[in-house]
Amino acid sequence: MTRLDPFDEIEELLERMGREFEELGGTLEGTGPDVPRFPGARDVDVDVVEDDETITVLADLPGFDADDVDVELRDDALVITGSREESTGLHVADEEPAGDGADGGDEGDETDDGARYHRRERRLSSVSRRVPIPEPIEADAATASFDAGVLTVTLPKRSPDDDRGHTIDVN
Amino acid sequence: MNTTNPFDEIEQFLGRTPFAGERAWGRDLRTADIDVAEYDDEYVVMADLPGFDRDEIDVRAREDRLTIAAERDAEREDADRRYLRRERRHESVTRTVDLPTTARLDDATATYRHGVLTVTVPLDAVDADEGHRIDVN
Repeated sequence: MTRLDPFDEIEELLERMGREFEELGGTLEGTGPDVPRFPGARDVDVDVVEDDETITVLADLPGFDADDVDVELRDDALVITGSREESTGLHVADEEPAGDGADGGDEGDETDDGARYHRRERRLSSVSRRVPIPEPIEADAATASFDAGVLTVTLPKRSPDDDRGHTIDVN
Repeated sequence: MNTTNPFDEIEQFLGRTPFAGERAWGRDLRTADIDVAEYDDEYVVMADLPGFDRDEIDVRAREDRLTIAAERDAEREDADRRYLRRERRHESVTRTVDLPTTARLDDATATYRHGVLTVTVPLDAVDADEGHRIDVN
């Protein structure tokens, strides 16, 4: 039996649920019109990784251009939004098979250009996510990059020195 | 002995198993989200595969099945590097899609851009609209 005490699991579960709802609330209050489709729906999957000097946030935003992605530091949270013009970015019929969100594709199972959708799981045209940042960080030194549909935001932690004011080297 | 644990039911109800890691809130972390659209002359499969290199993605078509597999090096986690949240999909993702029998697999093309794989499979036009015609002798 590798199973832990079931009550631990329930506690863990409730804690996680609490986090989910906290995030949901955050989304509702923080990002305007992008209300989740149903409770618990998460538009953007994120990893948050911490090491001694930095907090790194990785966010999956497949199908978005770097220009479509907006990152903002608000209070103690990182707000990530992405918006593109078309729904899921399905391109019109044949021509070039690139289709990364350029044209075509309306909502619904049968579209104007004759597409019949057998599956439609990919995310919305506009997404947002609020990620609480648990520690003070240097907002000015934050950097972001976007590659292969993954946003990486690096937030250097504020060193304890800064809280005590500027340190002056003694020679 | 294989007694039913009542907590299993709660977990099932909530759509996830704590600590299992493979599922979070009913979402299977080992698959990719896809759109599958059928047009008159082609079948288009789009798969969200954020964070991969082109050469980490393997697309195979065999016997009217399209298999998309992607694998990247695992992110390391050690004492110096702690995950505060971990929701993104796994390093290894696969997804299989059934294709119509009219699919011309040899002429399929695939592109990867902005973390989205698009596979286009041309369809033989004959059966698409009219159904299969049977000659009368």
